[in-house]
Amino acid sequence: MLASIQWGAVSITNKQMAEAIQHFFHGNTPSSIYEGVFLQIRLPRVILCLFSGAILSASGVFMQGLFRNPLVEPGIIGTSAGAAFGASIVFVVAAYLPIEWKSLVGPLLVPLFAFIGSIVATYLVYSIAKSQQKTNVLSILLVGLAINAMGLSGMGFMTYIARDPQARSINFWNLGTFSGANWQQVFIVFIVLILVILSIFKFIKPLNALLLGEEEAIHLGVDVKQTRRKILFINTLMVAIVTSFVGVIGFVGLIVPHIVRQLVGSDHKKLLPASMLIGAAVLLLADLMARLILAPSEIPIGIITSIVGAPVFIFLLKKNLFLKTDA
Amino acid sequence: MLKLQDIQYAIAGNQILSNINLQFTPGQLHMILGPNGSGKTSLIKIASGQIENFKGSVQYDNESIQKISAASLAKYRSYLSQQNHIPFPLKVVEIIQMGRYPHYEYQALKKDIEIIETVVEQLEINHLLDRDFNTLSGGEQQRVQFARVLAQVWEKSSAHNRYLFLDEPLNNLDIQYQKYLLQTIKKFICDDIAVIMVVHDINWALAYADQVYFLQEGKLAAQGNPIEIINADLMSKVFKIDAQLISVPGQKHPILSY
Repeated sequence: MLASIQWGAVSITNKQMAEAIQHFFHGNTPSSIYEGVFLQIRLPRVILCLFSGAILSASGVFMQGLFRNPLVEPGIIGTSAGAAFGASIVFVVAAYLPIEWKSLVGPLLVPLFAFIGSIVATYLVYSIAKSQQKTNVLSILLVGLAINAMGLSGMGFMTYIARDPQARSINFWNLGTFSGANWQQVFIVFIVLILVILSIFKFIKPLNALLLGEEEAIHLGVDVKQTRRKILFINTLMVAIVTSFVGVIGFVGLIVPHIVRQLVGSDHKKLLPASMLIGAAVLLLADLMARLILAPSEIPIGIITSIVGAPVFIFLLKKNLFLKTDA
Repeated sequence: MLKLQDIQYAIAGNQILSNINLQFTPGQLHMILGPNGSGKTSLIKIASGQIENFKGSVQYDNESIQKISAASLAKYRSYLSQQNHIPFPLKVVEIIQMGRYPHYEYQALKKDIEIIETVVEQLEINHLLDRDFNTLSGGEQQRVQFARVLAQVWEKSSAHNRYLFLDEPLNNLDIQYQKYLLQTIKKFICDDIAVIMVVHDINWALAYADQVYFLQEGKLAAQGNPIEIINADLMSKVFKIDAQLISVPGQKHPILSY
């Protein structure tokens, strides 16, 4: 029966994907020239969008499991902002580099700096939150807020010193966009996605055991410290890569696991794959909206996800704080 | 046999435990008692392998705990802690199944499923299996967690004795279930199982324990057979209370009145 729910999710996703792709196809095929547009712009965009949705949702699941807290996700606790800041440094500095350097190191430097930025941000939040006896929801969120502000002001500074065209793209990217998608990005993100899928098998049991509590996980034979390090590393890597290509897309990692938990429960064996599928679908839908609302121009996708995500976040916050005082 | 030698343990300069020497023999129910803050929970966390930064030695069947991997220890040692908070919706059956995690790789085997079914039946919690853990009462949650740790060490291991740690397992339970749980534990104990539990009620110790250990300010104040060592002097020394033992007609053990 549980399997049937999962299949339901899969088939829904497939249908949505098919519809979305068809839609683009029909909307843009008055002549064969547009098929080039479809192949070089639309198709990589759609695929990148699906992959990113899956990765960001998986990241939300990882982090919520690790922090034992349903309110955590890369956009909220600063992982994305850290990545964005790291990447924006390269973005601006690279403009001053000679052209031949830029083409040589550019594609590698952006993800690398994004990774450094996000690992610093995540580690800060985690260690500060951990330093208390009991990891407190509010303390994580407040530290996350501060780290987010630091990341964003760092980006703001970069925008300020940047030349105009760079500034505009940093700004756009601050709120997330898939408009720059290309096949190279799809390829790199695909590798990350494979890594995530492979790592899922390893982390199902430890993540489930951690739901019971850290002590319980230790007594179930989980090497908690090592598991935590590995998950933080993979999680940061995947968020950093995605963010360095598409910018900060908040709340996906929050809403999707929340919805999926209501459908299939919290067992990561079902939660992780289902979240990735639903996440892909949700982000594709959001990207579609981002393009259609003000068509022919588009709005950043982060605006869409935040409009939907923020109320869900407030709802969860209220529920959680209420539970806390109740206990 | 689980052997603790010269255990010293301090947190931030505060001495929590000192000079602890004791042995938990399989086939027996061991109860640890003592006032709040006397180091009971620290003691069983050290013995179970959760706390690692202590001085002294802990040996499971003559093997130092430092040499045993967490994964293999989990096959013959389980632990019920006092905290029950789970921040996500999780079904009771999923929680009990986690007790078998140390024994399988990706997929629960037929054997694991059978053990879960047996444990669930023994503890009479069949009707709870599909419920969300967070919707259960405190007592029901306690029984579910107990089922999980019981399932973890349910089957005999050829190479090792089995050790079950319970930190105040009677919390949240009404008298009927306290008694039921203790009887279940007594039934579960056999030659190769040692159950080590922290309790507060001295009368349960008199009625059920094979060995008792009284902690006072981090030191072992007394240990031995409960009926032999529990008396008014010990109670006034450890708990600072006036108490007396009263024998009950038709009952093998006395009760403590305080």
